[in-house]
Formats: sequence, structure tokens, C-alpha cells
Amino acid sequence: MNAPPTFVPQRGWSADHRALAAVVDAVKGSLNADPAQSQTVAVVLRDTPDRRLARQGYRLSCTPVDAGLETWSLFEPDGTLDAEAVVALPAPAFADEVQKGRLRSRLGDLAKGRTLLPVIEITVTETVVALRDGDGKIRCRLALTQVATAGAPAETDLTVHPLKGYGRDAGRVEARIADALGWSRSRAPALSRLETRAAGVSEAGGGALHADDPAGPAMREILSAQLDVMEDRLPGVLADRHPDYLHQFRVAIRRTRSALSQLPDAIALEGRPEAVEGFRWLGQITSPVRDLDVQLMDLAERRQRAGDDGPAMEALERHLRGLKTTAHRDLVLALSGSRFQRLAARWRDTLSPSSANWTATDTLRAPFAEIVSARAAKLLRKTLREGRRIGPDSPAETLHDLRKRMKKLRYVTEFLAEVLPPDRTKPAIKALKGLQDVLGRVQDREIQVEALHGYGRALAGRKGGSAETLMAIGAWSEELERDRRAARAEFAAAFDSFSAKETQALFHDIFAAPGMKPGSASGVATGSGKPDRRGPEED
Amino acid sequence: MRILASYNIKGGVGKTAAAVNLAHVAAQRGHRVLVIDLDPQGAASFYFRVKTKVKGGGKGLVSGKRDLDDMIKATDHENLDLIPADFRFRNLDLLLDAEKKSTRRLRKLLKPLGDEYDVIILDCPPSVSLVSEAVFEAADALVIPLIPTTLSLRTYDQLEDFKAEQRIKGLKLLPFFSMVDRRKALHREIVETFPKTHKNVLGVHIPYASAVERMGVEREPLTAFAPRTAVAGAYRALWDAVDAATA
Repeated sequence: MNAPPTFVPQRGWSADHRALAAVVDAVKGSLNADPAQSQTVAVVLRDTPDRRLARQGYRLSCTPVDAGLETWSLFEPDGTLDAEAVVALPAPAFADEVQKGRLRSRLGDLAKGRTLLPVIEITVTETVVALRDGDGKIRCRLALTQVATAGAPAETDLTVHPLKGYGRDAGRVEARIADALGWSRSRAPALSRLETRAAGVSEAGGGALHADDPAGPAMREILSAQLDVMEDRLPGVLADRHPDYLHQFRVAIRRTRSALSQLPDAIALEGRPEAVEGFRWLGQITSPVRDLDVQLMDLAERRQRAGDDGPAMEALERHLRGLKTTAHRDLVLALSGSRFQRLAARWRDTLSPSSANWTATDTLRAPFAEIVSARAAKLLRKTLREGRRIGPDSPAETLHDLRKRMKKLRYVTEFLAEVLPPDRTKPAIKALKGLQDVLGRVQDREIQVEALHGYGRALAGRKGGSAETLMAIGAWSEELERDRRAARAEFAAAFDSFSAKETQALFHDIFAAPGMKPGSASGVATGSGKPDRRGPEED
Repeated sequence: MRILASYNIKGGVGKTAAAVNLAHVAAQRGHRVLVIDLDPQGAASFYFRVKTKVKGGGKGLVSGKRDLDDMIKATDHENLDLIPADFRFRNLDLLLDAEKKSTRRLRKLLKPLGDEYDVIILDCPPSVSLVSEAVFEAADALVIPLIPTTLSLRTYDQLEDFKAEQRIKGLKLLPFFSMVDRRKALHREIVETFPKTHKNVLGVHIPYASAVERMGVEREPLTAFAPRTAVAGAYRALWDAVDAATA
């Protein structure tokens, strides 16, 4: 069923009782209006830290029903209810902690294993007026919805709820709202608008860019969105609320670094060298905690699988948690220090729309998609060249270099995805991810095995470092090494699939989108592409 | 989807009150309910304040040429819709007679509504006719209000005989006592003795109450405008019994 039509009041309209009565009077025609009935509920919207639900257009609305219970309702992009369940508090942190049923299954699909956290608390006041005919039969209902959250202006909309068999009455009321009041139809319900405005910090970027926007201002939008993400995730990183916060913080850093290094002509700024150095430092200082987060998550998954040797890993987990505490303390000190504060403040200043630097050159004024696609096409050619040189006996280093090249290609392609329809860019990005996964396993497993050996040496002879623990570490290392060898063996087929004509056609399609001529933008430098020798990768 | 019919050969026994209140209670319990007012007098439609006029009249209903969905009207109650009566329904017998396999016609017409509704309640006109036969063929159960009087019980026995003669299978008969006046000795006696010989009588009695008559003034199910009255409680218990017997 389609969502009922919703209208947004004219600017300046204030939704008090008298104003609503005047609106009802203007639109009811010959129908009679019941007294208005209002209800206010507090709603908590939950989402993953990277707003996966919101980005897919979904909304998970949680309302208290009783002491220790909440109703969780998942709404589809058009506002219809997809799934609902009553959950016990404390609230589940992951989809698989929700009771079995449709809601759990749908959240599992949408959140992809990410934690579900409260992102915004909203007060929703709905005032309903029933409009009746001369027999007292309700012909349609008007619902004025006001949603408010701390620190943001309230959003209001008026919805006409038609009754089956009485569509004409609703249609006449809708026409009067548009004609007599001049209110326009809403693009999205007030709740979605408020959520987008108050909490919708997108991981991906600006969101409203066009292929032919000038490159400089478009890059400024994308980079501003990355800084928004960093600032939004920072409190969660400092409090160590969940590993996802740091993960998203780091993804925003890498996207920023990628833009700075791969699209230097589109970011021709005085402060660029300082930013390049600053974000490289930020990547470095966040790396140890992220590596330990990944290792702890892998360990938890391994212990769940391992069965008998699970308890033997307790000493290793304690050891890793100790290392994580120390690493996190160092990270908090660094992120609370003046260097980070200065970096963030200066970068925010550089990204200010009033800065003239962003349109200073011809390249900065050239179409965004043209500049980015030229760079992406170049990176793709290099990627294919490097990949074709790798044979069964090539050293691990060549695969690591290819992985770094692919990361750059992925981020630049994702910038392009900001201005192209998802159905064109998603298949190409999926193909990239497929090969990246294989390369990631080759490198990450090697690093994980090295790390495990280090932990084993550290634990040997210590209290808690029992023979069982060391043997379990050994068994895990062997398992990881087997997977590394398997991934290495899979590389040839994975690369063949990536470089196949059909896959490459996906890239040619997006790099040659209207207004884009691959390789046409001259003077686009290749960027520094400095090696990133950190631990296990998460993307 | 369950199809229930509120039926009795005799008139004035509380068929429409039962159909309207059972539908409202079922809807309150979360079922998606459709009431079809087959009685040309249109009392159920009146209680729901819906005008008694159907596009195409009885012909439109029976021929199936007009989409049944177009005839449905939402009531003022959540989960509860209605196909209102039409005075032209008085000719339904003749119209059904003109159709092939006339008694199976209603079941065929209702089948597509299974995706949209959990419960369909047919409010039937009194008498035995081709319409009633079509209802017997379509329904899973007849909910039969019985006033505890001799004549009323006699019509129930006639109905049982008719069912046996016509060899109607798969149709449950769910009689219950309606308009019970505990002050009357005959009512008390029948309520006590009749179930001994008729094991399928539901153990819920709808008392005689002025609130039922007020439905015509309020034009709402009494379970909506007088939910705390004893008779509203009895209708809720009646739904639970019908629900259990037909689930």
C-alpha cells in the first residue's frame, strides 16, 4: 500500500491549537470535524554507527511500552511497516540478539552484523482530526505530526489518511490543502527529515552532488562530509563505545587521505601539505587500537567456533585486552591533545564554503565527474597492469602493492558513485570488493600469524600462559596460515574474474558516463600513494 | 481466512448485533475483518453508518464482473471493513439462480479476499433460500443466535435437519443463546436443558440488555460505545469461543 500524501506547512506556520483549527476549517469542505485528539510519544531511533539503516532509507523506531520493554518497528523507505517486535531491555546491541522472527532477519540483512545504537531521541506529537459526513461516518482523517529533538528545530507535516471506499473525500481535502493553503507535498515524512537533519551524517559524502558540478566545490563537500563523520564518531571513539566508531573514524580518514593524494589538482590548497601530513599521522595513531579490536573480534569468533580449545584462549584474550587498554589510553591522549584539535580546526576552516581556494584553477572549475573519472580510469589501468604481472611465484610484496592500489581505486570510484546512479556504480564496487577480499586475506592472515607468534612469545613463561593456551595459539596460527595459502591460490581466479571483459565493461560504463571522457582531464597527477604498512585491514 | 455467517431461519434473534459486535471484537484482537451485509434491510450497514448502496447492486455482487474490492468501505474502526447492503439484494435469490453452480458462487467470489482479510463475517437475512444455501457452501461455520424459546429452538432443529438432508459437509454449527432474560423461568430452564441434548451449543450467553438496542442510536458496535458493560463482555467471550471452535 502506498503511503498517504503528506504536506509541509508554509514557512512560518506555527502549529498551535488555533492554527490547526483554522487549517481544518479551510480544508474540511462540507464535512464536520471532530475535536482534535493529541498523543505524544518518545521515540528512540536506533541505527548502526555508520547509519546503514538510514542510508538504505529504513528507520528503526523504538518506543517504550512497559517497564523493561520496547516496541521496535522497522519502517520501509516509503514509510510502511516492514517488521515489528517487542524486545526486552537492556536493548539488544546486535540483530542476532533480537528474538527470532522477521525483525531479526530484516535487521540482520540491513545492519550486516554492525551494532545497533541509539542515534537520536525524538518526541513525536500526533494530533488527529476525524472528518465526518452528515451521518457521522468518518470519511477521512487529518494527522498533524510534529517531531522534535534537542538542539534542532521541530519538523511538522500534515497527512491526509484516506479510508477505503472514500478516496474521493480524501482527494478533495488534499486539493484544498494544496490550493487553498498553498502547502506543498512533502518529499519524506517529518520523522525522516528530522532524522536526516539532526543525525544523518553520511559516511559516503555530500549526497547532493551532480556529475557536472565544479570539481573543487564538489571535493570540498565530500571532504566536509568526511570531517563530519570524524567529529560525529569521536565521542564514541574516546569512550570506546564500540569498535564500529573507530572503524568509521578511520574510513573517513582514509577517504580524506585518498582524496588528498589521488586528486591533488582538485584540492589545490595552501594547507594541503599540512593536511596530508596531519591525516597520515591520524591514520597511524588510530591503527594500534583498530588492529587490537579486529584481533579481539576474530578471537571471539574463533572461541565460539573452537569448542574445546575456547577456554584455553582466555589468557590470550586477557593479554589482548591489556594491550588494548594501553593503546586506547594513548589514543585518547592523542585525540584530546592540541595536535588533533589544531588539525581538525584548520581543516574545518579550509573546508569553509567561504574559502576562495576551491575554485581558483581551471581544474577546480572543471566538471567533477570528468576529473574523478580520469583519475579512476588511470588507476584501473595501473591496477590491471600490476595484477597481470603477478604469477604463482610472485613475492607477497607484489600482492600487497596491488592491494594498496586497489584501495585507492575503490575510494576514487566511490567518489564517482556520489554523482552516478547506484545501479551503475554498485556492481563495479562489488567487483572491486571481491578481489580486495582475497588480497586482504593474503596480507591480513600473514600479519595475524606474526602477531599471534608475538603474543605466544609474550605469554610463554608468564602466569596464564599454559601449555594449552600456547597450543591453542599454535592451532589458530596454522588455521590462519592455511587460509592465507588458500587465498593466495584463489588470487589467479579472482583476478581473472576482475579483469574479465564483462567486469571491465562495468568500469568503462561508469568512467565514460555522459560528460566524462576517460583520460581526458590532463595534468592529473598520480599522487604520492605512500605505503600503508599497518596491521590487518578491515575493508 | 475464516468465513463465518451469523444466521438463523428466524428473524429478530440478534443476528446483526452478533455479526457487528463479533466483527468489532475480532478486529480489536488484531484480525483483519470484513463484514458483508447480505440482508437487504441493511441493519449492519446502518450500525456502521455506511450508506446502503453497492455499485452494480446484487447483480454486481453475484456476477463477479465488478471487483468486490470496489464495493468495500472502511468503517470507523481499525481493521474492520464492510460491504454494505443494497436494497437490490432482495433479488439475490433470482440472481444466484441465473448463475451456474449457484450455491458455490459466493465461496468463489470470496476466495480472492483471503490475502486481505483474516475473518469474513456474513450477516445473513432470515429464511432458507438459495442465498442461505450459498452461505452454507461458502462459510466454515454458522454462528446461530437462539432466543431461549420453544419456537426459536424449533428453527434450530429445522436447520440441523436441513444440513443433514442436503449433506452439507465441513460446515460447523455454533449455536449460542441470545437475548437471555434470567428473570424468565423458561429462559433459565432452556439454557440449562438444551445443551444436554445439543453438545455443540457454545457456553456463552448474550443477556437481554438495553445497550444492544442503543446500537441503533449510537450507530456503533456496543463493544465500542459501551465496552465495560456485561453484554460487551459477553460478546468478547462469544468471540473467544467462536475463535477457538474455528481456529
